[in-house]
This record gives sequence, structure tokens and C-alpha cells, in this order.
Amino acid sequence: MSSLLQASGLTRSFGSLKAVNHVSFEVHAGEVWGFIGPNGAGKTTTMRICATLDLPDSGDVLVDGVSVILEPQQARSRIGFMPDTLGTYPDTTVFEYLDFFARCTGLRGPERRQRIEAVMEFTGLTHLRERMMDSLSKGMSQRLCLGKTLLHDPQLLILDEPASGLDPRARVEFRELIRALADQGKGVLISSHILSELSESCDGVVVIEQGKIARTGHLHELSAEMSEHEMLFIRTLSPARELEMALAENPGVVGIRPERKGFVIEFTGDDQGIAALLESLVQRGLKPVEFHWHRIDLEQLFLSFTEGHLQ
Amino acid sequence: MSPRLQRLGDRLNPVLVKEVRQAIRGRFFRISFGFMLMLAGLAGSLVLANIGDSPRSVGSSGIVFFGTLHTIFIVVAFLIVPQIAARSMAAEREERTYDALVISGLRPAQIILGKWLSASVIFGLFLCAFAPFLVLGFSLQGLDPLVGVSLLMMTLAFGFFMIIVALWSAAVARNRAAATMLSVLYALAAVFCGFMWISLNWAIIWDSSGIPAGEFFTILVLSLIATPLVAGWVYSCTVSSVTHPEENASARVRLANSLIAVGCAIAITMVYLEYVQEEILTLGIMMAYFVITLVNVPTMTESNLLGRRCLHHLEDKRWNLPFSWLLLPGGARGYLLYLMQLVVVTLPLLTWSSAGSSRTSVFDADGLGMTIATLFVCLGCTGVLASIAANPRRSPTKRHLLRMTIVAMPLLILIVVALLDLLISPGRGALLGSGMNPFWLIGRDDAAFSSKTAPGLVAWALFGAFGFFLHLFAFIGSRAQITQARRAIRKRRKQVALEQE
Ligand SMILES: Nc1ncnc2c1ncn2[C@@H]1O[C@H](COP(=O)(O)OP(=O)(O)O)[C@@H](O)[C@H]1O
Ligand SMILES: [Mg+2]
Repeated sequence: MSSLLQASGLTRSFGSLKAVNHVSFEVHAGEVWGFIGPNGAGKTTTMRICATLDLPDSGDVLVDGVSVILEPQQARSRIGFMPDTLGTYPDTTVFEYLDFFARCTGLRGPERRQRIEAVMEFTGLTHLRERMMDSLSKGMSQRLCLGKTLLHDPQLLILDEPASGLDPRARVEFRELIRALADQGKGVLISSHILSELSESCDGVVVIEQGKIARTGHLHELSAEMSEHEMLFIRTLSPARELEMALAENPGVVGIRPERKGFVIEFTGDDQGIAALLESLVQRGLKPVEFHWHRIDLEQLFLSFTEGHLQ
Repeated sequence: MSPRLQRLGDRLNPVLVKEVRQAIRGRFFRISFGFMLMLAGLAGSLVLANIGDSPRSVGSSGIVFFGTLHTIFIVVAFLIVPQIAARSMAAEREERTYDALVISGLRPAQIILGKWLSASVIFGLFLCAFAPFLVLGFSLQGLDPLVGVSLLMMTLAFGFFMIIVALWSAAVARNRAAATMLSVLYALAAVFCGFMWISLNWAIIWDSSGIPAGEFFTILVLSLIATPLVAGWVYSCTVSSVTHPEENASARVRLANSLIAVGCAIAITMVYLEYVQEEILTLGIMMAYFVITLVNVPTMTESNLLGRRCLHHLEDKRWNLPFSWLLLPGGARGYLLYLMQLVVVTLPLLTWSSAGSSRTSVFDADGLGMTIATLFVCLGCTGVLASIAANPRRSPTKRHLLRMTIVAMPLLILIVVALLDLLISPGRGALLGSGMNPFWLIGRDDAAFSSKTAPGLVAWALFGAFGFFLHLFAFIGSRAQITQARRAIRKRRKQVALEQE
């Protein structure tokens, strides 16, 4: 698959501090990639470089084959960047705000109006068009900001900590918007320092720490690498102690760790083995109530790939 | 709306539309607009109420009325409207919305121009509101309409100028502390200039005979030429201060510098041909040297290393026009351009005629002492320091410090000389009044220039020459970088062409 965003060897120093140090990664079309790392890891700096707002000391970023360093104007039409601060204009309505940015991107006449309507519809802002933008809730401002970045229909979206400060409901809704955009074929790079936030919505992750890439890859690759075995979650009605004993006796189980009221097990063996495991539990009278594949836990992943400089 | 109007609306600078809308809705504009209009109404009625019955009082009523209203309008032009512009620029930084503008596809020049235009529209609104009062002033007795209109035009020109200066002061600040300091500095400067202009106004309208009419209009024309030139320079500096240093944003500043040099040369020639007094040549050129030096400080202190963005476009058509390489960034090229501009402002000397002069040649022993001294001082202040600043390894902070040092250099040297005088020969002022002081000759057009009278000046000139060679080496190095980059681009293009075949 061709990559939409290709960063290679990015380095950016502030004085003696190497905020970004030989960072390389790729984002593909139609996928959501998480950019995770603790505060001060260099996420914002990297994203600003990708969005043509800063220049690296060395290295390059290609967006759809266009260098953001050499041809910033061409690259800008392909990128939608949402910064970590939502700048608001006082005394401006939602429609006027979008209209202003649509004018900036060079949209004219009826075409501009149609585009704004489409964006407002997609982000669910149509009923708020005459509201002053500084009276919007955080979730709605976030949508407005996303809408602004969509006006010129960019292929690549770079979102810097879009979920921070949102309530859970707004967060889920925002995630759905992002997913819908990826399904339209756009590439999305989305940063966060809250690791669990991204695990459900990403196809791949780039893990950065102290300016260096600790790890990058598709989630399924990474989870496979993290352990060669299947990870399963099991919870039963009966007390945890009994379940643990039963699991430990099963030859297929090579690792057990408690999580919420059940256990995550590392399991060797095929579907037959899993069926046998369940059957043995039932025979022991252990009544399973929850049983599923355990999704990769980014927190774990992060800790296992870095030296643990989490802040 | 008719389609044509709509098309026009689409063409308008988006920042202009947004800023005017925001300003008119904003509290600051409404309050200041209302307040200034109320003040104008109040002051106007007071003046009208106080016109006595005596013919003298009635005869000068137009002057008092116009003067009062014009004074209030000057406050609007120097303080209020620029303040609106500066606030909108500062808000962009504080709300961190400037980046959004840049990536939305607007060029920095469009953003600054939009802000300038929008403040100008606001200024226009104020003018419309004040117009009835000012017209009333003209209809009363005593005011020379030509003088009144001229003064008003100059206030308008200064107003447009102050807007861009305020924008500049808001744009160069990188943090809140610097922003506060700069806005205070701006306010002080604006109050000072406004006060000077107001007093000058009263002097002129009360006593038009104080300045002979011919001279008054010469000054008027000169200011009306100078204001847009300097405003253009400030605008260019503002644009380049909000653009990434690796981009070639200073080309505009270089162009503005060159225009100022040409403007100075033309103005000096014109005034000289009008009055044929040789002080105009010597003094004019001396002042032009100082002006040219000041406006060139930003460009001659730029890093000599060209950024990747800039190098990438070297083979574009505009960089292959003759002499366009002079507009490429880099302190060494800036210095070269500066030297050329110094030559340009010296050209009016060619118009020197022996008529009205006691000398047979302008290069007589004491003819140009002061002018040459100024030239040497300017070259000495800039050369070495600028080449140190232009070193690519210099940090931006140090570069700024060096810039300020260059600007403050004459003052620093005078202080050093005065201190030395105090220490070495207390009470005698030996150095201040001797040839060791490079400034001794400046300001006395009767003083002769020779190595005996001004050894300090010679040392200063040698220092300047040293700076010139430093720049020259940097220039040669930079040319090599450019040639290499051009070759690389050509090679790449050839490769691409081959691949396409
Ligand atoms: N403009 C700047 N000047 C100096 N240091 C900076 C600047 N921007 C970022 N940094 C530093 O670079 C490091 C990385 O910052 P950032 O990219 O914002 O991290 P993140 O977004 O991952 O939290 C931090 O240590 C920060 O202090
Ligand atoms: Mg950040």
C-alpha cells in the first residue's frame, strides 16, 4: 500500500534540546494512526513540521509525494491540521467562522456555500450555525475545528490531542467522526498522551518518547510481537481463586494475569484447544460469563517498548 | 446581491471581511467610536457657544473650530485606530490562531495587508463621522481651506502609517512581556508624535505666514512621498517578521529599502534644484545616509545561509532575472545592496552647480567634510557588527542584540568618548571636540576633512573597510552555496525529464 504521509529522519532542536530526533514513520490512506507518547515527547513538534508550520533541521516529510518543506503551499492543500489549542474568534458565529476559512482556501460563490453546508452537516453543526462560537461547548468547538480542517477536503488529517478535555460522550462521538473520515479513504494521524484513548480507534500506532520513535507498526503486528500467543479474557461467576486454579491446570495456558474481575490468559493452541478449555471450565462448575479476545492494551505496549519514562 | 457585487465580495481579502466584522461588533470600537463622537460634538458646541460678537472672534471662529476637531481626529488617527489594529494582531498570537491562517492558504503578506486594510476601513468610518464637523469648520470664517485640507490629508497619511507601525509592534513580539513592552513603547511614541503634530497644526493654522507658503507645500509634498515609502518598509518588515526565517521573506524589505534610497535621491535633487542652496545637498545626503543605514539593518544582519525552502526555488524564473540575486536573503547580499543604495543617495551631488556657492568644486577642502564623516561613521557602525550577526551559527537572540547594538552604536560611541574625556582630561572635553571623535565633523558643514583634523574618522573608515571584507568573504561563500543548489536542481529536473520519457 502506498503511504500518504511519509516522514523520514526528522530532527528538530530547540537550543541544546533535541525535541525531535530522527523520527521516521508512515501513515496510509484509509487508516487511523495513533501518535502516542508522554507530555513533552515531541508529538506537537513533529505534527507542526508535518503540517508545514515548522521546519526541521534535517529530514523530510512527503504528503502524497509532495515535500512539506520544499512545497509548503502544495502540501497545505492536502493536509488538514487541527492544533492542540482551539483558537476562537470573538463575536463570530459558527457559519461566519467556517465562511472565513472557506474564503481563505479560495472557495468562491455557491461552491463555498455548498461546501460549508456539507461540512456542517457532517459534523452535526447545522442547527448551531448562528451561534457565537465562543459560547459553544468544548465538544462542539472541537467539531467546529474539525469542520474547519475539512473545508478544503484534505487527504490527510493531522489531529493534535483532539480528545483532551472532552467528556466521554463527546469523545465517543468524535471517534466515530474520525472513523467515518478514514472510511472515506482519508489518512488520519491522531496524537494523544492518554494511551487507552486510542486503542479502540486506531489501525496502527507510532510510539514516541523523548523525541525518538520507540516503536511503530500496525496494532495487530505489534500485539503479535508482544507475545506469540493468543490473549484471552475470561470471567466466571465463581470466585476468582477457583478460576485461577482451573486455568493454571490447563496445559494450553502459559501465562495468567488478573484484570478487572477476571483473568487475561496467554494461550497456545487453536480453536479446538479454546473450546476444550471452556468445556473443562464448565465441567468444573465454573459458569463463564465473559469470554473474548483481549484487545491490545496500549498502556502495556507502551511500557514494554519504552524504558518507562512515563510522566 | 447582484452577481457582480457577489464576485467582488468573493475577491475581497478574507481577513479584511473578518476583521471589519469583528471590530464593529467588538466593544472597543463601539465605546471609542461613541466616546470620540461625543467628545467631538461637545467640543464643537463649546467652541460655537463661545464665539463672541467681536469681528476678531468671528473672523477666527473657523480656525478654532477646525483646530479643535482636527486635534480630536489626530487622537483617533494616532492612538485609537492603530490600537484596534494592534489588538487584532495580538489576539492572533494570544489565541494561537495565526497558524490556522497560514495553513488555510493565506500568505503572510495577505494577512498583514488584510489587517491593515480593515483598520483603514475603521479609520474611514471615523473620518465619515467626523466629516460633518470638519466641513462646518471650513464653512466658518478664518480658515484657509487649502491649509486645512492639506493638514487633514497629512493626518490621514500619518494615520495609515501609524496603523502599520502598530501592527508591526504587535507582530514582532514573540511573548507577552515583549508585547506589553512594545505596546507601551508604541503608545509613548504615538503620544509624542501626536502631540508634536497637534502643536505644529495649531501653529500652522493660526499663523500660515509663519512658514512661507512655498516651503509649507514643499514639506507637505515631501511628507506625502515619504510616508508611503516608510510605511511600505514597515509593512515589509512586518510581513517578514511573521514569516518563517527560512523562507525568503526579506526580498520585500530589500525592495522597500531600494525604493527609499531612490526616493531620497529624487527628493534631495528636487529640493536642491528648487532652492539651489548647497546645504540642502550636504545636509540632505547626510540624513539620507543615516536613513539608509537604519532601514538596511534588518537585511544586512540576516543569516548568510539560505534555507532549504529558499534554495528549492532558485531556478524559478524570478530568481533568474538580472540582478534579482541581490534580493535573495543573506546579510552579505544585504550589505552589498546597502552599499549600492549609499551610492544612489550620493548621486544628487552630480547636480551641484557653482551658482549660489562660494566654491568652485563641491569637493573643495571643506565642502563635504560632514557628509563624508557621516558616511564613514555609518560604514563603521554597520560593517563588522553586521557580519558577525550574519554568521549562520549566531542564535536569533544574539542576532537581535547585535541589531540593536548597531542602531544604538552612535550613541554608545558618544558616551564612551565623553567618559574617556572625563577620565583622561577632566573638564577639557579634549576628545569630544577633537578629530579623535568621529562625530566631531557631523553637523558642522564648515569643517574641513583631512587626516589631521579627523584621525578618529580615518580609524573608523578602516574599521568599516574591514567589515566590508568580512562581508565580501561571506558573500563569496554564499554564492558557492547558491551555485551548488542551482546545479542540484537542474540535475534533478533532468532526471525527472528522463524518467518521464
Ligand atoms: N518553541 C519551542 N521552544 C523551545 N522548546 C520547545 C518549543 N516547542 C517545544 N519545545 C520543547 O520540545 C519538547 C517537545 O515538546 P512537544 O512537541 O510540545 O511535546 P508533546 O506535544 O509531545 O507534549 C518539550 O520539551 C518542549 O519543552
Ligand atoms: Mg503536545
